[in-house]
This record gives sequence, C-alpha cells and structure tokens, in this order.
Amino acid sequence: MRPPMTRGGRGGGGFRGRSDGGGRGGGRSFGDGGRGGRGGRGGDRGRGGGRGRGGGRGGGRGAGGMKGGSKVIVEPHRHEGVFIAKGKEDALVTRNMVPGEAVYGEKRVSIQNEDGTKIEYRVWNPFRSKLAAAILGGVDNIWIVPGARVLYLGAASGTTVSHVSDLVGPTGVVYAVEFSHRSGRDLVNMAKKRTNVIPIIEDARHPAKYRMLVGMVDVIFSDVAQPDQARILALNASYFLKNGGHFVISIKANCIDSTVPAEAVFAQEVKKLQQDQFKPSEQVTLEPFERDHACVVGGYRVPKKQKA
Amino acid sequence: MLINLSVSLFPFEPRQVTLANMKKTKTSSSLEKDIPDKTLVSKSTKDNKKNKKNKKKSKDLTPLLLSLADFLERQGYSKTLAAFKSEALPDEEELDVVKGHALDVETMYFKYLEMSDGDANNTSSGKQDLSTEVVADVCVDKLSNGAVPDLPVKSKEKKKKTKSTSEPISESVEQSGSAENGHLEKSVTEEQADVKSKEKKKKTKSTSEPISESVEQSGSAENGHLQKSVTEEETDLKSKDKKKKRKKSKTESSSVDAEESEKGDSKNKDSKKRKRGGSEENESQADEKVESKDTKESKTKSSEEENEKDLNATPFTTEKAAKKQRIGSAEPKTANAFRRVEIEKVEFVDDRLQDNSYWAKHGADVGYGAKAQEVLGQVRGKDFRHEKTKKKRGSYRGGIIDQDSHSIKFNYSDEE
Repeated sequence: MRPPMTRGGRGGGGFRGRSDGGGRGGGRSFGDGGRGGRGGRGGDRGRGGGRGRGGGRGGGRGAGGMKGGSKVIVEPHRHEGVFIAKGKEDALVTRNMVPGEAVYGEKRVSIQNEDGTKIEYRVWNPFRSKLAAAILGGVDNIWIVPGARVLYLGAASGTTVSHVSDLVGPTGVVYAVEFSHRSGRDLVNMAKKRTNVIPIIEDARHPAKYRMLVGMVDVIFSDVAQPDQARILALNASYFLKNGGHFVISIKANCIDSTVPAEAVFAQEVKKLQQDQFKPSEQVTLEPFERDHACVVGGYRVPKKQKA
Repeated sequence: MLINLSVSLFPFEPRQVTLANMKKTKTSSSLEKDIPDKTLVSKSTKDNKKNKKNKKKSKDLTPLLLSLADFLERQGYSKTLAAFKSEALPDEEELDVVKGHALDVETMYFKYLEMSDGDANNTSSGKQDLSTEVVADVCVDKLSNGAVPDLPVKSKEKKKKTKSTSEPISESVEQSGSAENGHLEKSVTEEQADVKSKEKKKKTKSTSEPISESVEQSGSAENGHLQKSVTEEETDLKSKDKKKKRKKSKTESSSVDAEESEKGDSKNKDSKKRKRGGSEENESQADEKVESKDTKESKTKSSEEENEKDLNATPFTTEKAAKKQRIGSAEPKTANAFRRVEIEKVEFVDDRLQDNSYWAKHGADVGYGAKAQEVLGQVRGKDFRHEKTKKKRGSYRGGIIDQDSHSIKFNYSDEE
C-alpha cells in the first residue's frame, strides 16, 4: 500500500528585515509544498517590508535536505524499524517516538495518514551515526528490531541511541552506557523524553557496577573505540547477553594500532572475538562515512545446528 | 705525610651560596677567597698522592709477584696459579735472575703479626696508620736486600688472638687507593674464589661480605701481600669459628651504629645523602648490609671531593654533566616498537577482507556513499574531518539507497 501524500503546512513568519528592508521568508514546511513565510518587516529607515515568496525551503539551517515543497514517500527498509524517505534524494529515517522533538537538530519528515493522523520521521545521518553507516554500507542484519532489548556501549550524547530508541519502539528497551559525565548530561536529558532509554553513566570496563540496572539483553551494540574493546564487549556479554544473542561492534583501526594496515587490525579483532565465544557472521566497511572503520556483526554462544 | 681531616672541623657551606658569591665577584681572586680552606688542603694532598704514585711505578714488582706465585704453588691452587702466571708474571728468561730474591709471604706475615702484638693496646687510628707504614717500609727493605729471615710458624691459637688486631689493618689497606696492582688484585680474588668454592657450605652471607669489601677496595702494591694473607686467615677462621663470628659481627655493627650516631652532625648526614650517588665505590657499598667505619670515612672523602668540583664548576657545566649522566644511565632503546597487532601472524579468512576501501566493496558504484567517496577519498587527516563536518550538516544527498547486502560473510564449517 502506497503511503498517502500530505500537503505541507503554512510557513512561519520571516526574520525581521535589515535597514534596507530585505526580510527573508522564514518557516519550515514538511510534506507537499507549504506556502513560504511572510516577508520580514522592513527596517526603520529602509524601504517597506517585502512580500513573502511561495515555496519556502524546509529543513531549517539554510541548505536543503528534504525539500519542503517536494513530494516524499516513506517506505520501509528491509531492516525492521528503519525507513527510507524517497523523494528527489533518498534519506534513511526512523519513526520519531516523540513527535515534534528533534534530538540533535536533525531534519524531520512529517507524513499524514489516510485517517488524518500524522507520523513524524527523523532523518538518520550516516556521517553522525556508525550504525546508519553500517546499514547504508549494506550490512545483512543488525538484529535491532522493534521490541528488542539492546545494551548500547559508548552512548556518548545519545544521537544514535535516539534512533535505536525509535527502532525498538515502546515495547523495547535501550540500556545506554556512557562514562563521560559531560556527554552523559545530554544523554540523560534525551532519556527524560524517551521512556525506553535507560542512561547509565558508568565505565563499560566494569559491568559489575551496573549489573543491578541491566537485565538480560538480545543485542549488544558496542562503539567504545578503545584498544581493549573486544574484551569490554566479551565482559558485558558474559553478564548481560543471552545465549544465542547478537552483537554489533564498530571497530576503529587507529584506536587499536595505527602503525599497521586497518585490515590487519580488523582481522585480529575478529580473531579475538572468536576466542571469546562470539561467532562473527559478517563484516562491512564504513567507508566513506568513517575513515578506517569496520562493523562486525555476529552471534554469541550460538547453538550448533543439528542435522536433519 | 697524609693529613687526616675530619669533616666536622669545617663549616658546611651550601652550594647555592657559593655559586651566588661566584656570580657576584666574577674574578679569579675572589673565587679563591670564596672556596673553603679544605679544598686547598685536599688539593695539596692530591699532589702528594700523585708524586707517590710516580715513585711506586718506578719500583719493580717482580720479586713480590714471584713470592705470590711460590705461595700459590705450595698451597696447591693450580688453576689460580696458571691464570696468575699468564697475566702477571714476566717472561721465563727474567724469572731465573729474580728467583733468588723471592720473598716468603708467610714469614712476612708472621713478622707483621709480632709487630702488631705490640700495638694491640694502642686504639687511636693514627698509630695504626703508622704501624702499617712501618711494615710497608720493612717490606721494601727486604725486597731490596733479597734475604728473608726465617721465622717460626705460629699456631692457630695465636691467630685467633691476633684476629682483632688484624681487622683494622685490613681496613686501612682498603683505604689506600692506588690502582697500580690491578693484576695482583685479580690473583687475590681468584685465590679467594677457590677457597670459597671449597668452603661454600660452611659459610654464611654475613661472614662473606666483609671479605669481598676488602678485596674490592684493595690498595697499593706494598700492602697487597699483607692484605692477601689477612683474607686467607679470615677464611680459615670462618670454617672453625662460625658462632663466634656471628656474635662478633652483630656486636661490631651495633657499636659502629652507636659511634656514627654520636659522631655525625645532621648537616654532614644531609650532605652525604645529597652526594651519595657520586662515585662507583659508594654505589657498590650501598647494596651491602653491614658497613665498616672506614668505608664510611671514604664516603665522606669522596663527598668532599665532589663538593670541591661543584664549587669550582659553573652552573652551566654542572647542568650539562647532569644531562650526560641521565643520558648515559638510560637503558638503550629496543629496536622493535610496540605493536598491538603483529602483521606476520594475521590471517585473512577471505581475500576481500584484505581491502577495506570503499571501491573494493560490492555495489560501490551505485551506493549511497559514492558521491561522498569522491570528495572524502581525496583528503586525509584534518581536511578529512573538515569535509566530513560539512556532510554532517545535513546537506549531503547521496542518491538512491540500495537495500542489497554488501557485507563480507564469515563461513563456518560446522553450519549445515
């Protein structure tokens, strides 16, 4: 079923004009070409205010991504919970769990259903999120699906965590571990509005310190960028990851050894993971979104398949 | 004539003060005034020592060496004798001429013991030094004459009695610091090595330490044979009188500590601590548990010499020297740099894993990142970060998103 087209709302008022009276049409419109904002009021000594122009660009911050005036179709990606906003240019999006709220100033696409309800999607930028980069790189399975329980190591300010929160939905839960208190403030503020995110400001090297907060999880996503990140992942998996669960790890080669080729680093990390009862199933490069990064996905304590 | 200067007589002047004075005056005459008297005195003693060394060098040591060789032969130290002959003794042609003038080391030693019995009552260090000088003179006379009077061999009881007197003598021998008889010292240490190998089981660590001290710091050629015989005597006594020695060493160490606490002013101790790491002798002694009085006196002397050097030197040169010492003391760096990943041991499961670049990936031409790769592939480092920041702003349009899987799969044999 093709999702319905929506007409964009009317743009907001323009900025107040400079002394020459050149106020720019402001506002942001989503969906199908909303009218541009009214012209700003003229300056005190300048000419009168200009009239508003039609078709104001959406998305804010000047440069256009998803244009307000263009028709956008949102269709699901093969990874459950991830969507593609198809217009003149495609964009990876997730359904916003808190409509009307942007977490890190990302663009939003609002779509109206046939029954009149609005659904808002947030654009997922692969240059800001390694998980998005892995999805666009062509990873086979991320295992983060609606209703999943995810342990996120290295949550930082919560940009990717917010999208994972959208992915798992209200039935799922995201345990976000971040050691930095400064980043942790933003993470906690984000978690206040998202009920399925549990922020943990603690060192991922010591999972025993937060063992009372975290239950058994289905997936661990690790983005800690530490030389011993394989050990950190293994330690957390031994505490919280269920047998037959899965892991997604982003490996930064320069963080482990910058003197050798990145490929050698990835091969060694995969070997380490195999020694810690992990079973890597696939590896994908994060180029060009990240330099010398790779994403490895696999299972944990996977039971052997019996012969038929 | 040696002048024994006690450190407590001179007031301790900090190095910073002297350096400040030097900066103010900037003339050679004023420099001489600023430097304490002790430095001048020690300079004169240094000159005396140099003259003595030159005199000693002129004397011929072959009779003494022959006497040592003869002693080794009689005692049955075959290996030591062979090594001694190869290193120390002159050619065989000269040996025949000198053999008639050879000394008997044992008789010399017993002669010395008789003399030391008379001096047993005298406790002052000055008199002991005189006695050692007298013995040295006697040795020289006998070397020149060539004739050695036969002396009756004393019993072991006599040795036990005179042991207490022989200890300070060996200590005084330690102090004499000329490095002429390097080969002689070697022979002495080799002898002791043989003795030790025979009596290892009987010995304890506490008894063996003072001997090694005396051997390390053994001095001039004149006192060399005396010291050797003293150390031999000590090794004989060790095997018989273990318990007595243990008690003695305990009492001696306690008495030494008591004397030190009475003697040492706090200033002198501080200066010792500061200058402690100066000479190699001091470093070797610091490792040992029990220290004799004389070793500590030698420490103070070396610290005095260092003070002189510091006073004379400019701050710039001292800094340089300190830097050189640091550089020299540092261990040589290993050639191999630290690596977390050893490339030799890395094995790639798939050939595609050997290239992590974007274009090596399947479906790269039509991928969402192709446009970005054209820009970001050209730059590295700071420029890469700059270009990536531009892309973060949300202006990037990568084209159509491909939903196919382009990852490299790991295949396992156990999967059916």
